[in-house]
Amino acid sequence: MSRVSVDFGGLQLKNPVLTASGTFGFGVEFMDYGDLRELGGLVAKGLSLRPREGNPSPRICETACGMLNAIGIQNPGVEVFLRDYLPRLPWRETAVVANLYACTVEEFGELAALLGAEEGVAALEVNVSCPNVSEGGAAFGQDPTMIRKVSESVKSRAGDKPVWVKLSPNVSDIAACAGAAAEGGADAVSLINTITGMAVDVRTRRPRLANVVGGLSGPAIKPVALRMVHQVRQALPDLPVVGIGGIATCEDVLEFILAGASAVQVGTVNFMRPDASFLLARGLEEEMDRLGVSNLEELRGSLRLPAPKISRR
Amino acid sequence: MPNTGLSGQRVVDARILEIRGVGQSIGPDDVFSMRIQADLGEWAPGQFVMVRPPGFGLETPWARPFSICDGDASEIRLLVQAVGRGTRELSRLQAGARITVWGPLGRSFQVEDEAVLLAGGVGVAPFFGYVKRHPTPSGLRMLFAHRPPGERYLIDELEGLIPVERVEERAPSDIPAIAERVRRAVAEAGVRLVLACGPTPFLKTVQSAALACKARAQLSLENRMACGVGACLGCVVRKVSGPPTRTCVEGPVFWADEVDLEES
Repeated sequence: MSRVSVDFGGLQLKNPVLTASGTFGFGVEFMDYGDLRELGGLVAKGLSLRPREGNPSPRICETACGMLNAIGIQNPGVEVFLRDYLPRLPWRETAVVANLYACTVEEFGELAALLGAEEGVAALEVNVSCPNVSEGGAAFGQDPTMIRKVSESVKSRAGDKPVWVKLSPNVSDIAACAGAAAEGGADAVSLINTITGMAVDVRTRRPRLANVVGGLSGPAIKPVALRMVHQVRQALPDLPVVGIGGIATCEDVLEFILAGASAVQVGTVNFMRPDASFLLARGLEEEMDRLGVSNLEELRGSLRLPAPKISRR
Repeated sequence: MPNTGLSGQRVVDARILEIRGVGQSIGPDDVFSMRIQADLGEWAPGQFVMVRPPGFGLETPWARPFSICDGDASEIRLLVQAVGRGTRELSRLQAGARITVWGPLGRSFQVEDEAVLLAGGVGVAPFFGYVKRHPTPSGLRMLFAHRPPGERYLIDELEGLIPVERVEERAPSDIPAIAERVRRAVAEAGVRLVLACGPTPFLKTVQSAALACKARAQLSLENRMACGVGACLGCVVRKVSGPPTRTCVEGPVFWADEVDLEES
């Protein structure tokens, strides 16, 4: 164990810096910009059973301190990933996490069986942001009962692989969603996914995304993400959390760990400069030295909260 | 820095050698040229770079894509029109300022002995390098559609090298006549290669003309991009067959008969 290695939910990572799904392609796109083996892990672009063409354009829009996207999980399907991309990744030396996207509980299970059987896949991350087709189109991720069912389905078919459930922040009680994932057998929760948002062009009087609404990401959402990591940690101290949301600096990484995250994922900042994740993985120890942090275990969850107020008459 | 290097691209913290508006200070909607000291290695005309001020911008989180105008292995020049937040932010930088660059990116224009170059406004940029590096520039000619004054696009540099016919858009009412001139240029190209770069309506005109008369034409698209390296899938263009494809990796130069510009 080095001072930056982390161990949670049945998985050991050389450092806590992973790349977030949808922001790092299948990893091969970034091989020119750094050595993938420097990362704690990479979470691949969301995979569905069959290829998906995604949404119409425009799909992205720049916003203050962030961006909106409505890509629509364009991907070539799980089989192409396993055949053409996974073999090119240094999965023996850095954790490759597969991200699963499906619209029924059964499809999630099928995906889990395919990916869980792969030696090169270190863990499965479940994207519950999709519309639940069999239940009339309401999002899985906003219904704790569905989160539990999807978690059970994936965990039961994933073999010995750790299962992370990536939660939507577009809910009123994030701890209830995390609890449902844990009940369903999740080894960790990843939070947060993007926050639903919208941008309009006053000149054309049109929405800036063809899909009208999209997911907000980037440094703009970091405070929301930190708040949710904190809330889940408070409610469920034994459930490991992978923190995601606007991480752009090494200090941001340490903030999430302080709030209770076991590891983090770097997302939108990969677009802002393609070596960003490598810089964060590489710079973490120096930042710890600067802030007097001896190791991450000591830092994790050590947030100094104000003493609870005792009401007096 | 460790590099598994497919083609050696990386992020370069570069320096601006010179930035200037053409004949004036840089105002809104103005064109400016920027010389950047950056060792990008080999590049080919039609390829582009992503450029941003250092750090992670708040108002403008994304870098911006620009065709490489010309230059060599140690220095590139860009021709930029200040049309939005990002380009205006770049226009305010001064010589000596640091700037973050990655590239060269994407696929370049095909090089053939004879070609007709169709440029719309600041879309003339990649043709500087194309003409200057071309083995037989005597086989090239250009139609350049632009808003006045043409000088701000540094067009006199090209006029010294190849024949350039200019058509000016003084008012929106000039557009139909320009489109007609562009269609005729495509039709007159015959078997010669047609290369086009400019605003999307301009490219759509070239495309429809090329499809109508079966001209061989390449279009350089300028879709909105976040990453430039093929990860975000924000810049995709519909293809005639198959899933949407990335402008940054499979483009920005596409054959006119392989893409559907309906959503662009």
